[in-house]
Amino acid sequence: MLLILLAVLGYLAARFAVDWLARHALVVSGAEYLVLGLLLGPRATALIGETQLEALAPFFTLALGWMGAAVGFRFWLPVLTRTPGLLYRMAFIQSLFTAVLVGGFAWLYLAGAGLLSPVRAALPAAVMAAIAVASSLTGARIAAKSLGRRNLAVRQLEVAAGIDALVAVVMIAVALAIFHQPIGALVREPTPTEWLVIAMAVGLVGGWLFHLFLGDERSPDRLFIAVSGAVILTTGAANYVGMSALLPGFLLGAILVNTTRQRDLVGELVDKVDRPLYFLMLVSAGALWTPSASDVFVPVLGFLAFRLVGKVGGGFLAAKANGVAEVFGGRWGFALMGQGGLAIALGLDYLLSPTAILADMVFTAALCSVLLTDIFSARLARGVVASLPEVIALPTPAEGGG
Amino acid sequence: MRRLIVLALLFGAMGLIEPLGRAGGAADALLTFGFLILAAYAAGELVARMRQPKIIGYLIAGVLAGPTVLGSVTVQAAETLAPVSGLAIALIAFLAGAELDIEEIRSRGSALLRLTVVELGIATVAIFATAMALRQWIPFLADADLQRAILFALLFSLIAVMHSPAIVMAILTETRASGPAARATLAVVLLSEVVVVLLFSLLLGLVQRLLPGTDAPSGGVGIIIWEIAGSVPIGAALGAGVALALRVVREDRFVFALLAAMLGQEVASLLHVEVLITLLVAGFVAVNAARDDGGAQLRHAMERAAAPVFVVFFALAGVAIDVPAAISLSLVVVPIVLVRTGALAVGVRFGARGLGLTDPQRTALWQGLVAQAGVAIGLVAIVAEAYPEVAGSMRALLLAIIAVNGILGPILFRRGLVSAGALGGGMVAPAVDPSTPPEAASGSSA
Repeated sequence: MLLILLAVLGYLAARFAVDWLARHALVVSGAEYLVLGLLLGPRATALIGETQLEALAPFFTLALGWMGAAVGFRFWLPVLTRTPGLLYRMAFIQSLFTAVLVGGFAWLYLAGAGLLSPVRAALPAAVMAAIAVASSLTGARIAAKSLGRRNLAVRQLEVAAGIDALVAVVMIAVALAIFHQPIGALVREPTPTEWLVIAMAVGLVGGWLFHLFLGDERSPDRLFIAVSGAVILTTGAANYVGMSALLPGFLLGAILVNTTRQRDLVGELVDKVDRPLYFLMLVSAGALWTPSASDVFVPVLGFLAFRLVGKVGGGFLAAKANGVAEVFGGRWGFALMGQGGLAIALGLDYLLSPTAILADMVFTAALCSVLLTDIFSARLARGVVASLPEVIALPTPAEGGG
Repeated sequence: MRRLIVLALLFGAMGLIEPLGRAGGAADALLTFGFLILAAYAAGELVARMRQPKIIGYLIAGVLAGPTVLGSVTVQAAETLAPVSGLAIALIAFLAGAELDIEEIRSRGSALLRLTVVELGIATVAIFATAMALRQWIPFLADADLQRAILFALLFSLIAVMHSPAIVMAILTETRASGPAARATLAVVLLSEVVVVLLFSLLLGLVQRLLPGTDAPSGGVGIIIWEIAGSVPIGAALGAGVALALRVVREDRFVFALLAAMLGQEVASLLHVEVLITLLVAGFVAVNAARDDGGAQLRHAMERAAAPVFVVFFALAGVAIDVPAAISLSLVVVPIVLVRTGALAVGVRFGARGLGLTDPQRTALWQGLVAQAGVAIGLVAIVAEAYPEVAGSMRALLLAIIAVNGILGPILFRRGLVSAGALGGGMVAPAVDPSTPPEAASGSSA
């Protein structure tokens, strides 16, 4: 019955609440479902107990892979190649700056405070860095829609959010590969590189199977079965081998968008299933939260502060390094403060991983960040988009203007 | 050729990935679910090229993947997917209810009931007689005294006679069959389900009085009556609720259809009523009470939602088949299958007189009754609760019989429908309809 209620909730959220909140209150929906999960979960009212969470596990695990596919689906090469290279450079700089800043802080805190050895501290630090890098595209889209404006700043935010997602997904996959737990049943344990290759192979084989399965099929029903089968198989396989489902899902999504002839239809399929699964994941994530055994105040506060510095400072540095500080201004990074579902997915992915170290602390940081930033992200993005002129001239020749 | 490559790749990939992880848990369930969707669907397409029903492909893929053949799917992983089977049964019942025509029930209801009783009666007696004749080779009857043997043989016969609404619905959906034979087959399998459950409950109560088992009876007559009779008002209320909700929900009916089936299943389970009857009534009321074309659209949406669930449901039925056990029991299985099939043919010949069916239509009807699926296993579980000492061997024998009938039935039924000229008319809307409007098509994607 609980699953039905959650599904109904997810459905209603996807259908009505999200659009309404975005339109009327400039609020990116999501945080309220986390709070709902927290309230219903075993730590509060216990309406969602441990048994129910166990029953829900396949669904929120699937949500991770599905989200990876949805993110990968944004990487359509014809659009990517028309985007000025400058935008990628800026996106990568702010992304890496944030990762280094937050990851460095987390590692120094965990190793310096003696909570973990320097080597073991690298795992939660890397995952916190990956979570910090993730930014939401929704705020920028809501802002652009409310202003009726779509200038180069909006495209920059889209590119930055995409690169952030790519960096975050790769970071968590690499971290989990490096710290992968031994299987014990094999002649020799795979190396971290081999684990990473296995995770990537899962996504690539999923995409290949989809094509072998369908060929030039145009029927929506068969497309649905093929897409569902491929994403479910990929997610299940990645989790089964103890790796993140996000990277294989991402690769599958990227293959689908770039190779299928039914791009719009498949995109619609991916999007429509993603929405209810997303809200189910948020409620489940809230319910799964457990107070950390170690002190979380300092690391979480530090995470939030360094992320703010990383995003805003990284944005400024990126613009400065590329000679466009005056064009984009010093505060465009504010528009990337929104965390969105990917941050929760990264935290949840880590929480569910058998490899995880200090998972509760990392997950708490992700939840706090999403709860704080989702309410303001659209307003921050609106401020940035509104402050920039309708037409932005780049100092370097743009190869198409995206 | 492409389908064979897909199948080989899938089985190969499962073989490669299996030693790299740990069985059990959500990941294993997802991996198995995804594998079964793709493998069974590819096998279904392969079989369809040979002009056989796709569900044969789903079953064969399940058998191949099962623990007794290639072992790609473990028993543990299959058990974690049990909710999928529950959802499939709910969808089947809802769809079947949605197909029932009120005019047909009024005009031919009594004739259909008579046919059901006659075919069930003849087939049960024939199976019982065969089981008693082969008693010394049937483990749970061999060592029993005469009274015990008779009672267990009766229970066994009642379970072994069951038909499969799931397979009949799947074949009708796939072949778009229409006409009197298709409608009558669907009505009889549904009616027989109710009749058998009722008779089984009464018989088990009687057996438990005569042969006290290790466990107390799982319910009195009152509970049995509530399970059956309570299903009707609860299903009607559920159906009315769905019809009302359809006025508001105009998009994403695919998701709505899935949720409606899941809700019905949960409500029936919570209130301890028969899931099948509840959803059957709900489907009937929802489609007939909905405004405009809302009912038809819901039915289309539900058929789309059911497609992947059916694929996995039948593949899981294949996984449950223990091939070595089925082969070892073939001396008993083959005569029982032959006698059951013959008895159904005779039963329909005598029982269908008032329905005005032609010879090919009667043939199609009895051939539609041959198929069996996993619902009967649920009844064995109830027997096991009271008599665990017989459950193992009875389950093994029934699984072997179901395995043979599950593969033989769809082939016969499709052939029968072809001979009766019932294919392609569309009593049940096609799962893949090229004329689907864009809204409905996108609805399927949710």
